[in-house]
Amino acid sequence: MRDDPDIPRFRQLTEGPSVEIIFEGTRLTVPKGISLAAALLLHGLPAGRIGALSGSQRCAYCLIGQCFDCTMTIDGVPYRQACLTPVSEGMTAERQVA
Amino acid sequence: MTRDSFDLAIVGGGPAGLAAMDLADECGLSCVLIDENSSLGGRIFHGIETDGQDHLYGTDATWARTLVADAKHAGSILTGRTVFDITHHDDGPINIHILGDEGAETVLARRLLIATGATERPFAFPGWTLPGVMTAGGVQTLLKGAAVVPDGPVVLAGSGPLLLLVALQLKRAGAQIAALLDTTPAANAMAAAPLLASAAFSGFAVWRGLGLLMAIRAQSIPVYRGVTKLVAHGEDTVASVEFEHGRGRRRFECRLLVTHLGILPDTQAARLAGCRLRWEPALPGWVPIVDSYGNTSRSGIMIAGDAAGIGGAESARHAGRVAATEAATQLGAISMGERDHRIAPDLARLKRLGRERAFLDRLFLPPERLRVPTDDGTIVCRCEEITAGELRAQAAGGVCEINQVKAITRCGMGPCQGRVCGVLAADIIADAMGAAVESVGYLRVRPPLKPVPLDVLAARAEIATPPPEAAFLYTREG
Repeated sequence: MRDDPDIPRFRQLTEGPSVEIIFEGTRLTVPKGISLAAALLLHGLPAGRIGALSGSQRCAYCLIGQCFDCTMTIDGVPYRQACLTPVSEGMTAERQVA
Repeated sequence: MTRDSFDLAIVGGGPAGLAAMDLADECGLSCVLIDENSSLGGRIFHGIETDGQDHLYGTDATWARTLVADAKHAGSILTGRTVFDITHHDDGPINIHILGDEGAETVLARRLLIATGATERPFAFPGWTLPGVMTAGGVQTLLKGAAVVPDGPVVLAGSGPLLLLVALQLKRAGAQIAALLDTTPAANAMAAAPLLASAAFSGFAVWRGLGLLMAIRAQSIPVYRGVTKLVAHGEDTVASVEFEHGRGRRRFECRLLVTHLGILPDTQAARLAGCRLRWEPALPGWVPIVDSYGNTSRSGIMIAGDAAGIGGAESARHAGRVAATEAATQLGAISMGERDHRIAPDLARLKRLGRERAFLDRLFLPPERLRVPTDDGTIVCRCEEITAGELRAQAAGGVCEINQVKAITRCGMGPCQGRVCGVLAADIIADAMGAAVESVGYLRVRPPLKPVPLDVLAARAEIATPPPEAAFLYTREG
């Protein structure tokens, strides 16, 4: 799933300290302090929910806390917005149906 | 848990909220500022606390940083907290219910200032729910907050100053821009021309805009004007974008499609609090009814900045100062004379900035053909996956009020609670009925404002079962 060519790709302009998060069981090294949505996009991973009706993969759309397309289960709590949640050491994240 | 009571609670840490905090403190009020982001600055100054990217904020960077620094000394700052309910009974304090990592809390305040800023107008077309389609504000947020830029060809489509600015910022950050598709109708420039002179002498927006256009030309970004009939193609993610330009259809391959159709006030919290809205044809859109001091139809609740009507960051800063000074007057901290003396320069500046806003509004006025998707299969409600055709079927059946449409179709009932589709659905219904959009109305907002775990709600009986007399808070008329 990592570096899935079907997910839009992003890169970071700066380099700095990093933290480790766990996305669906896979350890990822991500820049400290950025949002979970930005961190997943940097890894070419789907930063979004699975549509409850069609089952289609969504990806962060507005990134300002409005659209809920980046809804995820974060640290075991469902329905959290990845765009508003900064990454932290050991954070776990899973996609969810929403 | 209930926190201390404050004179003034401010929701939103953008220019309006930050400036209000500083002024309120100066007037001797105790205040608290709540923001769902983990840092201050709001959407416009997202990431301003991080070093090294000052160029992204232009000449505003200096005063924005000062605002953040001053606000931090002016009262309590609660970042990373989401407001999920606002309740207000009789003459008691306003209860602002917030959720953060430590669970739910209630902030009590004698006055509430809603400074939640703006949100993007939805731009719906076939394929806009595909991964790889993002709003211009969203892409700019990635750049400002995380220094993250797209890799691979980018197409930008839509209309408005933000789209042009983001195109330039992405290009300067090294992104590969395949095309900038400008959907602004050619007739807009003619209609806005009579407002140009007054705008140019009132502020810097016109001059900044000219500079932006020249910079885009200097960067050799391919621009296509008068673009219509946008379609995003792709299986699992956007792969190309097709559009009409001149007499033919064209297609560009891309990994990211950035869209923008202007901004609207974020009225979600205002509607939850029961503040009445009015139709503003210049946007066009719904804006809260406020007087020149920021007072709303609900006593004790004020709104300032873009959340009260689009004015931009500098306007928001002045409006925040005015609202805080008004709150201090109402609470007896300063006299009316002192208020008028303090805010006279702010009111004068707001008036001048309003003249350049009138020009920008007219220049980038989104035409109905962009606000209403023609293709029946286009998704309108991204959460509940309701299409334009399903809404038109309701209109054909005589359902003409937006809350009825919501109840019947579930449009606006998903996790986002109509934040994205609300105005879009109203535009479609009005167009199908041949009626004015204001007659279709706007979506009611009910608590919780954002999802709250049930165990958190269950532990708070007073929210789970609001007293019956509080029910009026959530009706459209307030």
